[in-house]
Amino acid sequence: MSIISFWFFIFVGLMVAFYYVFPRRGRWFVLLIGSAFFIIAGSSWQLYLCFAAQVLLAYGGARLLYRNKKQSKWICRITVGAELAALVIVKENSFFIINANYLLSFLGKSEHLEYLNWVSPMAMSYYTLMLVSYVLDVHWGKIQPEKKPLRLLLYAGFFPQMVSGPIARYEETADALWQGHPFQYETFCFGVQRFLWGVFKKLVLAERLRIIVDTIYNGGSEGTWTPTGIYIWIGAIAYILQLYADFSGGMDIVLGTAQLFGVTLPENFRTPFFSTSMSELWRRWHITLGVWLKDYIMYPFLMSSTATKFRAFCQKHGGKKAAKAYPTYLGTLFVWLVCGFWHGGSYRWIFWGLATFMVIVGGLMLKPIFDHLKKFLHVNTQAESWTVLGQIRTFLLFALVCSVQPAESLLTALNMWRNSFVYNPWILVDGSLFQLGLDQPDFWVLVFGLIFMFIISKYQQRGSVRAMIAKQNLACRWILWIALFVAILVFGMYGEGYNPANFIYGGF
Amino acid sequence: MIKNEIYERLNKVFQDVFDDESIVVNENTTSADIEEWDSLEHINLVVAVESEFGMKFTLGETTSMKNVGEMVTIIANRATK
Repeated sequence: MSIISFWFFIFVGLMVAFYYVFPRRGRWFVLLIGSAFFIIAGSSWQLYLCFAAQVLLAYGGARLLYRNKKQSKWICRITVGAELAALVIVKENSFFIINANYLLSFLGKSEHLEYLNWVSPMAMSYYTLMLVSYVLDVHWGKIQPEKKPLRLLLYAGFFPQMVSGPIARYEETADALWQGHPFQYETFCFGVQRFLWGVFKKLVLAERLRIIVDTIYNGGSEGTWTPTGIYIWIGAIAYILQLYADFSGGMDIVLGTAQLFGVTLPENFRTPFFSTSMSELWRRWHITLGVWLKDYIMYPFLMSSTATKFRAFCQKHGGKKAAKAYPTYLGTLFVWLVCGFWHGGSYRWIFWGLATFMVIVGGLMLKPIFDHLKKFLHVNTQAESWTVLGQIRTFLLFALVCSVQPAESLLTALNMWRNSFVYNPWILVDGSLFQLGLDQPDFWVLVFGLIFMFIISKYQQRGSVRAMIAKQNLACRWILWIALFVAILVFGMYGEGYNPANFIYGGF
Repeated sequence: MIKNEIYERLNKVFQDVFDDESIVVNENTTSADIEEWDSLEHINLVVAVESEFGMKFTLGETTSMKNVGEMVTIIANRATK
């Protein structure tokens, strides 16, 4: 059941009705049963059992390590190892099969391993990280182990987050999901409004951008065209705008749905395209994944005995600055390798992780040189124009790095980079842009829609746009929200014979 | 260990890690008060404090310390030098 389907709207409507009709003490039960139904309807009961088994493993492991302080380290390692092994084996087995086959060919063997083509439980990449964070937090004494297994089941399997997260922490959401919330008109309205905004981003913007991206990356409708020059830049920029509208739109739907039940899930975006550096962008894009990687990969590595020895080595051979910088760079490398592999077990994703790492660390290493240059050239870094320049530079760098994502393979992506230097700026004015799958009216709907999203993002930097609208007069509020609803009905890409694509991040 | 002595030694560690001789911390000092104190510098700081006082913070403590006051309480309970 897609979260932008008619059936999902009906499902959420019924869930809301049941939730508020039930006595407050039992409202968690509605969420638990509804979530189980959502997962089973979207996959199968066998896959739901796989999910429940992982929850049970985390539950048992956390309780066991809490009781056995002496063996807690090993129980934690085994539990976390089993959770991560399940994820890697079920989701990324093709990566190992491909490499095994490369090795077999290299050794001159004619045998080849068959692909398993396993179907993974819904949102496995997301809930596994949530369960790992739960076990580690218990191990590190940050939280107490859960006594009620159903509470953990609800925390890991709350239905809105079973598509593409967010990767919530146990202490953030477990209580809020378990305790029944009274109906609050304002919270409920905010939930509906956020839901609408998410549907707008997905159906009006992301779906139109997808057509342009598919045309460029698939070589036209027949796959025979080789895009060059500006086309490739348009494809790369359209892709990250699609990714943003798709992922953040999906998150708006997820967080808006949760708000209908009075539950606040953690934010995943904070206007990322206003960042002035790549590291800042990654603190504002897919925030819950970034924080997870920092807390459970970066910090444990930097505090490990290996990092301590490496730090001492750097101190001895490179001084204080090297001792501070190089262990951090090494930790950042681990983080981006894991991040790439988490997105997809293929060299294309690992390359993407490495490219992002190089941009971030390159920026850190070159910072002293740029600082000197800025001083020498008397650049006013407080000027608005300088900030905007930094934002545009970061946006283009992000587009460049992410341009490998929609390509068929790493080789295709690298070939596209090579072809991007062809000079053909006339395509911007000779009507070629209307040959990318969107006719003129659709193209202009997209352009004005993107401008609208940009304006809203500007306002979001000042605070909640819904709260700002809520302060307006009744007529103004209703006109705005009805206009958004009508815009979705008129300009949304939906209807009979049209299937909106799955959310991109749902595939990770 | 007396808390005043901890603060005195802690000031030197902060000044060294953040390359700023003017830093003076108190129990309410947080990362918001020192510009360079981001999530990565936090680890460098924790490691430097561990080395200064001959003790170890757990990962849970590292990520949940809210201010210097909480850091000092942990040091006071655990420091070996």
